[in-house]
Amino acid sequence: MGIVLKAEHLVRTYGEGEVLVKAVDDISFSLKRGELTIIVGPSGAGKSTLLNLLGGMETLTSGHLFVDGEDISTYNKKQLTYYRRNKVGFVFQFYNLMPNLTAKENIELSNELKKDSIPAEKALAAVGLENRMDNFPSQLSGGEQQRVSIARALAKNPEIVLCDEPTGALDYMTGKEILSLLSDAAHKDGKCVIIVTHNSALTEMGDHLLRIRNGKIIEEKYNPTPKDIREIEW
Amino acid sequence: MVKTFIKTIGRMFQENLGRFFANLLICFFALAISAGLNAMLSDYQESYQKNYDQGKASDIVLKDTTGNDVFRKDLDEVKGSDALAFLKEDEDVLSVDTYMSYDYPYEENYYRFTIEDFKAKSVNLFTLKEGRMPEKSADISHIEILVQEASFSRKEYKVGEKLSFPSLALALPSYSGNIELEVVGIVDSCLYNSQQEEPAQISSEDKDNLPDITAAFFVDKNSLPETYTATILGTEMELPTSSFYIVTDCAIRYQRGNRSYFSSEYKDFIEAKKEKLLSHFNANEKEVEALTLEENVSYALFKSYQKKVGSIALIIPIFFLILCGLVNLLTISRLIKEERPLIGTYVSLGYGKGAIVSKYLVFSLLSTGIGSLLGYFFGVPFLPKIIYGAYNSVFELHGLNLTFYTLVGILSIVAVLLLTFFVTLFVSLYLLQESPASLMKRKSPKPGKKILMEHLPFWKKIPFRYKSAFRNIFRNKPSFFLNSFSIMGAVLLLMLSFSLLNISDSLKDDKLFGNVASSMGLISGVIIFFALSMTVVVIYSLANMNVMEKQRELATLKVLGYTDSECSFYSFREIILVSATAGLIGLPFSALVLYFVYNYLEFGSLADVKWWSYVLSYVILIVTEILVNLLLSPKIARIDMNDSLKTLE
Repeated sequence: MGIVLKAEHLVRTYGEGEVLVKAVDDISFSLKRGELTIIVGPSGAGKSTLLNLLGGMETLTSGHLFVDGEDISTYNKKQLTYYRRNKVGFVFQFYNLMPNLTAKENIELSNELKKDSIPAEKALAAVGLENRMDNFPSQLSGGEQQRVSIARALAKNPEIVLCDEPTGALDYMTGKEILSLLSDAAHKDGKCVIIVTHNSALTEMGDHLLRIRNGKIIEEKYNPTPKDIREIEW
Repeated sequence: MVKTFIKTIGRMFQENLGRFFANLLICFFALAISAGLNAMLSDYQESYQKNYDQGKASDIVLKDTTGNDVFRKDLDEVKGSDALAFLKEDEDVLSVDTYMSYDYPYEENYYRFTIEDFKAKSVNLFTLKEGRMPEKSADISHIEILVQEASFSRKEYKVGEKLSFPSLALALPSYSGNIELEVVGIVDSCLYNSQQEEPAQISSEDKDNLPDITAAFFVDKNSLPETYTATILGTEMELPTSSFYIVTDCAIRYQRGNRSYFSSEYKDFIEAKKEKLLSHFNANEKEVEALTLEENVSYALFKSYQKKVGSIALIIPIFFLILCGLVNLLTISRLIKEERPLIGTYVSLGYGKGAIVSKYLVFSLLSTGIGSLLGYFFGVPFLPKIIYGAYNSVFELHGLNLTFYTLVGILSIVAVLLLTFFVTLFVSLYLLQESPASLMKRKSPKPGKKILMEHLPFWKKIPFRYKSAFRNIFRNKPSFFLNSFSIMGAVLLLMLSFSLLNISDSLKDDKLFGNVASSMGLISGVIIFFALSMTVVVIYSLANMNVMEKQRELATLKVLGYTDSECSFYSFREIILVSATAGLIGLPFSALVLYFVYNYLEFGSLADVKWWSYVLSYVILIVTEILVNLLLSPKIARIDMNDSLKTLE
């Protein structure tokens, strides 16, 4: 049990007629609490579209998406907004921090939307940034900015953490530190963490793997003994 | 390469359409009012001058105040020369008319009688508006006359109306019974062309409080019978009518050359002529008065009116143009700053400074240029047309002579274009000093500096949303000040236009000036309209810039779960905080400016400004603020979460 997210025949198409593109073409899976899921595939496979659908940033063409038993495919724009607010934490390739707010304020901005959020100071300490709280994004390195972004995602205590190429703009070592934070979020905090990447090497660190090509799942497997990120080389 | 570069220019226009048109409209309104008001001045003057040109107005009227017929009787009995012959020695004299004119008191009214030879008239011509010219009377008991068109203070007569006056009204003594005067025509004389009262020319201690004349009658000497029957000491006698007419007035028209009416050159010219004439008569010990056109009530009223409107036309545009320049500066500098990373990319690709700078010059000069030209060519014909009716109710304007040339308007266009050119050049060249790498990096505020407010005790109690709004406001100081000044400028424009309305209202009690007040009121109404439009566009421009700048942030907020209305408020909160504060500061600031403005204008005063002008200006500011933000909410709702998440800019 402990199923958080259940996707049934997700379809998302763009355009129509001859230019119809099926970005996500009949995808089904389910994800559990405390599970680290890696969605892997080449560029243009439909990974980001899938992530946007899971995060309520885009609407389905057809299919059903259950989160905590609720079918969010029936949600309107406003309900989707509240879904993102209450259930989802996002980590992006380019961090997307507010440039005019300090690290701490960036987290407070997200926190004030949710009652059971973790205090900004605590969330920043958890990612090792207790000394950089009053710095602005431009004064932080890429890795530090991504840590702020992870702290922001976790601080609001979401059910699901969605990460889109979280190490895409980072160097090798920094990328590893970020991934280990995300793996802790799943294994220690019990979140349902989903990482979307084109890097196949990362598949070994996940509990659950979804390999995607041309909008379809071409491989799904569970890994009972995920590797520690420090042992993985790429 | 060039083709693609041009494409990016096109893209910039597409993405910044709101900004482009807001800036265009601001230039439009500023230019429409400055060119329009100034064109109006010269249009009206041109039309009004026609009265004098077509009617061959006299520049000086000499008046014999003694009744001794000094103009006709020989000055030098021995030589037997004409008392006015000396005028022929002055080459500037065009023509001279002599006639008899006096204000006759009857039943507590004053009637101006002018008895002259209509056929010989060469100056101060009148046009027949209604009826016909008088015909010769067979008998003195019935005379046909012309009446000057009614105006504000003068009584209205109809063609065919018969009036009964004692014979002395026509300066004919010893006639038993009254003379019947029949109005056969209504005329318009070129010296009576405003609604101004005409004070009676009577000898009085109190020169400032002369009674006004009730009507002006024109009697043709040729229409009078040669003789009339007078009763002297009980004996009836036939007396020659003309023998009773002396010359009281001598109207002289000069060659003005290129001195235009209402100019100081003209004034100096006729003052000198007047001095010369008076000294001539004084030397001959003759008492004569000389009235120049400057002393004509209609002329003087028009002149003072033009002066008032002229100073308004000079002052008002200054404030419109300053605000226009300010918003221009903000628009261009913010556009260029937003495109920082793009500029970095251009530089790294090897585009020259010239190409990059020209991209922004094209945008800013097109927006300002089109707006200014449209404003000029809208304001120049339409403003005079809108206000024409109100002016025409006070003054007789002979149709509207439209001019498309106004120096102030052209100078305004040049000023706005030059400012735009140099601001664009300066801001873009300034940015280009940086390396492409640093350009591509987002510019962030200086490290961890607390804003002043954070030291205040209540800071901790302020909700976080407001804290972030305050920080955003105060961290970008240049933008904060430019924003605040623009808001203060908008409040000032509103205050200025409402105060003009207040001041014209305060003139309403005066009878003549009731009319003048309504035309002043219309002028202020037009200025209020422009001030309102300007305020709306300026606020739209500021709010739109704020949204454009925050697009990426707003997209992030949406992803984090902020609703569309919360996102709108995120942007709105900053603008309303700045506006509410800058607007409040703007009120006393406006009062200070108004104080100096009315000192300069030499009419009206700060005390005339009603309390509601302050309240209304502020309320309009806030209401516009709210409406504009409602207008921008769909734009915020349309921001795509994905677009701004994928790449850096």
